[in-house]
Order: sequence, then C-alpha cells, then structure tokens
Amino acid sequence: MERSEEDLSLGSSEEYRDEEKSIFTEDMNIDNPHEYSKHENLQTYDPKRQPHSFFYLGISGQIDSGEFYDRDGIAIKYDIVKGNRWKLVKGEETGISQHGFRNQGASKRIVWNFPFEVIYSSTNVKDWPQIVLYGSGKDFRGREVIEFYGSVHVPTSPGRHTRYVRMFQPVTSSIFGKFLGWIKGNPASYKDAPNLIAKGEGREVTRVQSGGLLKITFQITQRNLEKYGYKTTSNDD
Amino acid sequence: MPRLDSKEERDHKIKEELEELNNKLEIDLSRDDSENDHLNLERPIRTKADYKPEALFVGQILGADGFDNEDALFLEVIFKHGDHWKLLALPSPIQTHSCYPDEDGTYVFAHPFEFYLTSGSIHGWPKFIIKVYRLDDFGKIDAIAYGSITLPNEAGTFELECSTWRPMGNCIDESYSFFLGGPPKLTTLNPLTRDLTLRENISTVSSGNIHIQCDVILKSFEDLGIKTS
Repeated sequence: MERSEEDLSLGSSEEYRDEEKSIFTEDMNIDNPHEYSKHENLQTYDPKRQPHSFFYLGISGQIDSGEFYDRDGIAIKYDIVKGNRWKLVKGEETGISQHGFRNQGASKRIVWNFPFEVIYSSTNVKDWPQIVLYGSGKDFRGREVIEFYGSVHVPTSPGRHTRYVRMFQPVTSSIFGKFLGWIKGNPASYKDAPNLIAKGEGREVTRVQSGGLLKITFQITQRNLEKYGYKTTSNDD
Repeated sequence: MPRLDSKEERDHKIKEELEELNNKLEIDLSRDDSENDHLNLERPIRTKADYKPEALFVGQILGADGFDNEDALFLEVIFKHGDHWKLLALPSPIQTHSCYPDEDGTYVFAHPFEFYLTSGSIHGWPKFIIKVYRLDDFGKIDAIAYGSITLPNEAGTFELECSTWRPMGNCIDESYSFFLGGPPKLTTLNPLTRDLTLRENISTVSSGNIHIQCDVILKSFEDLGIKTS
C-alpha cells in the first residue's frame, strides 16, 4: 500500500494499529520502484538532493518522587510540548499519575514511580520537546485543584539522565483573593497552560513562590541524528 | 564586425539558457512540509544540502540563590551573539516571572528558552547578559545586579552558574541603598561585554548566583574541522 506523503506518523494510521509490524519491512514495496528508492534506510548522503531526512527520538523514563514542603496527596500530570514538525510515532503524550501520600516517618518524600515512553520523528531539531508537569491535589471538598507547575526539556544527549525539576506555585496578590480561591476551590492558576509554562512568554506579570522538587529519570535513544550531521554528545565512541 | 543576432535568434538563445537552468534546479517540492510553519522567514529554495554549521541551545533559567533579600526578584535576560551568527527564529526577549524566596533563599524561575542559530564564524559565541530586578512590597522595580555568561560550546548537557555583581557607590549612596533601596546602577550595559575597558573605573559589590541548565546540539562543526570537545 502506498504511504502518502502527509501520513508521517507511523503509529496512528490504521494498518499499524492492529498488528505489530516492524517499521523496516512494511513499506518496502518492491513492485513500485519509486517506493523502494524513497525508503529512508536506503538513502545515500547526496548533497545535491534533499533527502527524506527523518530522525527518531525515543524518550522513556519515569517520574520518580518529589518533596513538596508540607503538602500531601499530590498527583502529577505531564504533558509533552513540542513543535508542530515533530510527529508522534508511538506512545502517549499526556498522562496522570496516582495520588501519592508520604510515608508516616519524618521524610517528606512522595513516591509516584510513574513511567512514560514516547517516540517522536522529525526533520529538524527546532522546538525540542519539553515535558510540562502539573502537581494537583484534592481540596477540602474533594475537588481536584492544580497547584504546582514546572517544566523540563527532554535531554538532548542519548543515555540515562536524572533531572531535578523545581516546581513553582502562583501567588495571588491579595489576601482576600487567596481566601476566595480557597473557598471556591480554584486558587491562582494559569489559563493557557501548557503553552504558558512551556514558552515562558506572558509570564512576566505573574508572581510565584517555590513549590517543591521533583525527580525525573530519562532514557534517551536517538536514531539518525548523527547521520545528518547533528552532534548531541561529546562522549567519544 | 560580427553580425548582430536577429530577434528570433536571441529568443532562441534565451530559451535555451532557461531550459538549462531549469534542468539544473532539482527542487523537490514534495518535501515542503511547512504548511503550519508561521515562522517561515525567507526560506531559500535548496539545491544542495547546507553545510553551514548550526547550533541549538535549549534549556531553562532554573533559578537563583545567594541574594540576601526577602523581596521578589525577576530577571531580564538578553541573548547576544556575534555578527556572523544568525538566529533562525524570531528573537524572544526573556523576562521571567517574579518569584518570592523560600527559607533557603532560593528563587525558582524555571523559564525555558530555545535558540537555534546558524554560524558563520567561531567568533562571537552566544552569551546571556542578565539583569536582576527586585520587586518590593510597594510594587517598586529596581535593577540590583548584573552578570553575563557564555553558553557552552560542547554538545551535551550543562548546568551553568552565573555570578552577578552591582556597582558600588560612595558612603552616602551605599547607606541610601541599604535603608531605602535603589542601589547604584549602570547607565549602559556596555561594561558587561561590549566594551570591557570601561570596567577600569568602577568598583563593584558581589551579589548572588543564577543557575541555568543548557543542552547544546551542534551540527556540521566537525565536518569543517572545528573541534570543541
């Protein structure tokens, strides 16, 4: 079956949903010689022609644990924000974890151990993906309220990485506003999240205070970035 | 005297030259997947792969500490690069939100940035010039520290620490700034990086540190023999 030029996300078209086919064999349609020559595995690096230069980025890892001064009962939601040229190949871009409570001891650590795994393909490194994180808890009436925000860029070099993300919480400017927010169940929150958190524009007029620390482990796998001239790590092979 | 070409011969020659040019241009229009790219600034038609080195700086202004202050702080960060570097997207000025310190005196800014540049020279490697502002309870804004830091030139992940300072005045100015706020400021940012000889005449007082996380991807630097690690 001919793969049209627009259908670039390998994971979402129908023929790949039911059966787990390998990405190396399914579109080698040898009967059609043009299909065959376009296959990216068979491309040679010819400077006179613009090749199909996809590279793949596999992001996996987990949201391990966190410490949020005195708050308890927090669930973490994540959202991956990237440029529009990045196509999702496999995986879920957003997820919500369970509500975690501290252990009864003195430690303030909350454990989620929440894994994620996403694969993206793109032709340009612009708009590198970021993970935007929200920490939400239940208020006195049982409503889910987002309190903490944070974001971290996906690491660019392959391998294992541990990142400690500092979360922040917006602060209302008046005491009355704070009380009203507490009663109604919506304290100060950002309207245009995740773009406001991920891009950083428009946040100049807001006031925040520190919210807590979150530990995330990443495992990055890359394919074809070095082939197209990108150098992402300074480790010598 | 050579015979001038008649009109038909001139037309024929022009046609021939145009055909030659058309055959040379191998434009693969099927690859133009920029339908959603509103930042499509003067994208040239490519006839061969670009060997121009490119660098991507991606990261976050994490936070600050070491400022002995109870007021809210925010940063203004200016991205500066040399003449032969070109930013491949609209420049976005960085001004962080205002953050109140916690018990340790750490401030959280968590302001993400991304700069994608083409380079024509290794001179003028990109830098950040940072101005630290204080916002007090009455809503007054004051510049209290300055700093500058060069972004890493190695590919990989780095945690940078930028130390900051502010100019020092005489006795009267210092006591004024201690009780009322309003420390002495620089009139221009030139002493920071542009004209370092201006620093001979000023005395400064040290201030806190700014933490920045920066990931770097380099393209085609090694193809041209430029070694950075």
